[in-house]
Amino acid sequence: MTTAPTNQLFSFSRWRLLVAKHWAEHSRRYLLSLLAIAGLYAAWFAFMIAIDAYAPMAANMQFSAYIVGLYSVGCLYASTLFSELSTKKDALPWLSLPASQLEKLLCSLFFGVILFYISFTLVFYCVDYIMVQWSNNITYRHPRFFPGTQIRILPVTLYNLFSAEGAPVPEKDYHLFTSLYFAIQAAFLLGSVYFTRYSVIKTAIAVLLFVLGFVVLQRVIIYPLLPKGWSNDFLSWSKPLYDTGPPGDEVRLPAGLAGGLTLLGQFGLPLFFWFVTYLRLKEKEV
Amino acid sequence: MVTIHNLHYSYRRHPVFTGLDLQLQPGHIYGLFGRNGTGKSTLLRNIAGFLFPKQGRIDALGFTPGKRQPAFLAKYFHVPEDFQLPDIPLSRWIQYMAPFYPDFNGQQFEHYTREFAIPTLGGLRELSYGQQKKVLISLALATNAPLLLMDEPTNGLDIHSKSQFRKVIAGAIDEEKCILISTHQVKDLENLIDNVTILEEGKIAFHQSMGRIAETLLFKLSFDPAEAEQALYSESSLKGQALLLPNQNSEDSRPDLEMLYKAVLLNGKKINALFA
Repeated sequence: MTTAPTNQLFSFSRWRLLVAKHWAEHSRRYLLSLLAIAGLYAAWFAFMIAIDAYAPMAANMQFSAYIVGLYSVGCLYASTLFSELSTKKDALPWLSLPASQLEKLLCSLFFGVILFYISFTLVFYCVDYIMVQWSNNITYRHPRFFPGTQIRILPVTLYNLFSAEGAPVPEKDYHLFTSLYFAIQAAFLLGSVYFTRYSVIKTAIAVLLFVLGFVVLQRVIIYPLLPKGWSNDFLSWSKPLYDTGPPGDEVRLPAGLAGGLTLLGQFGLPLFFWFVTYLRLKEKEV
Repeated sequence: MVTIHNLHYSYRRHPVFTGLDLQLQPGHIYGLFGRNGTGKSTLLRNIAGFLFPKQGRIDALGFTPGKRQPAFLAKYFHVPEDFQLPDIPLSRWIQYMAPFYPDFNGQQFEHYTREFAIPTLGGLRELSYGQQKKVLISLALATNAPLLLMDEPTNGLDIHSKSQFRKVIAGAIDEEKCILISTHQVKDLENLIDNVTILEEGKIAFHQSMGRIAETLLFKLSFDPAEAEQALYSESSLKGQALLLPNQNSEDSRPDLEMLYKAVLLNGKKINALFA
């Protein structure tokens, strides 16, 4: 006979049991999925090396492959994390398992957010490293030049997730795409609890509608409020550089406030969606 | 152990319970009967905390089920009618399920799986539906949870397994446990339950112990038309008229659950008046 933890909101020992149970029940599927991801990346990179003679493994290509894979697989996986709740036969055992809703949510976040992100990135780099070496090997053995020039095509380096060298400006400056991923994935996680059927499609539509609303807000409300010729960069407003004007034609939020809002967007949104997911889990009826 | 007071529950605009009251005591096996769609499963799911009452109050083992506190979840086990077990070996599943239930007893689990003749080697999904159900029942009993809620547990069981089920459940009950079995297979629970609960039109239409039923009602076969006229319920059978009569002379008879069920649906007021 074991002693039950007294804390009804969170107990580490109960959470550990949940994690162990989840792993025992899903490990085979997860490992096979990671192998499939590795295979898809290898096939895609091989295809790029075969068709692109100049820079098949350039940093921007590695970046886009990483981001597209991360978003699509991550969101798809997130929307299955609470798929048990969509059918009665899975939901009843899930809800009656002696653990709190917070522990169940944190278990899903552990696998769906932390472990998935780490393992996905590791798998990506395992394949990416091999393919970059292969691509560079080809460049060494068969030197090539850019068309009509004597400029030799140089070997490429492995894309660095942290420096984001070679990635588009918003990623390089703010890690926009990487950090936004967690918010989008959190929305899909919420969608899997909120929508009983077709949660992936319904969440995707909801996210698209939100983005559309944001664009409309920019176009219809923000732009008409700005002086003529000014552009809106979310947290700063300025006249474009090609417009002749004094250099002071720029309005910025105080650095602290802009930084705070950026952090809120990057880390506040996922936290907000996870909190709403927790509330939905608590009130879920089956 | 379980007290339900003035329970109201509805699916959108379709009311299921309209002021249901019920008390379940430890040491008993309750049979919950009712027509299709009367809310047998809904009642079980309200007690288990899967559904929240629209009005009224449920107290189960001193907890409010809707809060789904782990301490409460560890004290009951719900065997649903339809379920899906994970695609892993039985021993591995038990290894990860058992620690959630502080009173789980591995030897008991082995005993029940032997009783049910469940193959313990191989994956859970390789077992038939009936075998999977027996695995779930074995786990439910081995957790030693004080409250067991079973929704149509005999569905999918073969004839031999049904009798094994009755034997196993009868052996598992003790003074601290309460078992509530919902079924429309009334015959399957004969000689097992000691309390009959019948749901009808959103309320408890009948709730009595088998002892009281045997004391108050007389189940007999008769060819006497005068006796048939006094019956609360009668039906023709090959052996004569099967009658349900008030047991005015304290005669011994064996309650026929199926007949009682039909009689309550047809003549509930009169029957309940006899128990008042």
